[in-house]
Amino acid sequence: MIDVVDLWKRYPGVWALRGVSLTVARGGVLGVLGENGSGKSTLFRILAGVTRPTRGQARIGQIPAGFATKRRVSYLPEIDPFYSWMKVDEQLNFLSAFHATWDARKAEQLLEFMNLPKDRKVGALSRGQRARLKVVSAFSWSPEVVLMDEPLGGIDPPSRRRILESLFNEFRRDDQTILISTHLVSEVEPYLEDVVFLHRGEIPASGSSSQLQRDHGKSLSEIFALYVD
Amino acid sequence: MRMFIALFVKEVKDVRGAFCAFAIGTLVLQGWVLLAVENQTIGIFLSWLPVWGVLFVSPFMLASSFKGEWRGNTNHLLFALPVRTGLTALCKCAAMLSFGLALIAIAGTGIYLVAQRATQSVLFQLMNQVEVTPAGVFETAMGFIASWLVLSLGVVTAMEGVKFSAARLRGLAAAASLVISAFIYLALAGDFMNAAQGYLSSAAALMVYTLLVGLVFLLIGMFLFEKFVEI
Repeated sequence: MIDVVDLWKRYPGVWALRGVSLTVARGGVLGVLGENGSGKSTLFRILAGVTRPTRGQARIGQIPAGFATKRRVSYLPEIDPFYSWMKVDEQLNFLSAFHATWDARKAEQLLEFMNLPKDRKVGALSRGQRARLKVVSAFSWSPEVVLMDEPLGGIDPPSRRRILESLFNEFRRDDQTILISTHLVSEVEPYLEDVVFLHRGEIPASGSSSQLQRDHGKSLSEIFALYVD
Repeated sequence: MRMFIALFVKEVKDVRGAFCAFAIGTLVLQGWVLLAVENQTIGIFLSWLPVWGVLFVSPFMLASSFKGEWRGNTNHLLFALPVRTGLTALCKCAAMLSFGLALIAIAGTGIYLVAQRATQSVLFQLMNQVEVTPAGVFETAMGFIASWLVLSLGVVTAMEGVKFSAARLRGLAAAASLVISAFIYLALAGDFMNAAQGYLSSAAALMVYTLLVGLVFLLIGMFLFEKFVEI
């Protein structure tokens, strides 16, 4: 479903990605783990089609990531991308105009599950509530690929586990491919099928979650610590 | 079309506060001119102020709208939508043009009403001497203002395209884009006016030229957003 081949990205004065290659099968769940500045967000932006690679290719279902793939990809950036002057339901209505598979009933269910007030302005929501809204906006339609860049930021620890469990077991479609990046490795560990570690724009280790743990004799959190400066 | 409308409505809602403030300000000013200003020449001058205000403020509001997307990180949301990036730029420009034209229409109505009772003013006497009608002057002036509005919004869209295409020195790139736009507009005006001689009056030719250059700059801006702007 996702093929990344020798991907390079240069920003003024710095290489964010240096020859990254990875593959994710349809329906797979890939954890992209790395510290701040390791290139996770850049990789996600390229896959979302909002940033162009300097070299190399990123393909979603054989099509180069860009305008043609945006209908198939839901992108949750690390930062809050919503209009602060819109109300929650106004924001979701705005997004529904762009996705033919938008399911208003599912959006209602998700809002209720996330305990989000529909009539409150986005600007008045807490950081955790805005993080929940990102998840609602991503799962209220049926994208083939969901890119979640640090989706748990600002959400309190007890809620994180509940949200992750529901996302993966209840709201996610079985054939949906999910890429998730996070610092909170231990909390997403049970849901990850495959993992790539990003360090200074390169992939020093990758593989299936269980294989990596067997090879290193450590949990993913412990392996993650090896690739933190 | 549904996506264009959603984007357009979003942009209109974004400027509705400014629109209401301008509309109320215009109505209050022109009501005051109609009811309380004795000097008819000063009355006409004052009634035109909102039009110049809109013409001056609209490009700044458009630039601020683009900047706001980057400052508020909403560019991540906007650019990830399954629409052409150039279309998002077009919607911003279209919303601001609607904002400007609606306000100019409101102000124009006020100007018309003020002009109705200003037939003895110095301005009208001067017009009579040079054999032009107030209605003709009004129509020409409104035509120029609408074309200048299109030009200024087109130039700003191109400028924002250049600015956000640049990886660094964005302020300098934007300033250079403005200077080059002004140079192009002035440099080609003479040639266009000469070519249009015999087909159009000088005023109409300048209006058409201004409108066309504005549209070309708008297309350049859309192209830049589509091809080069990224997060």
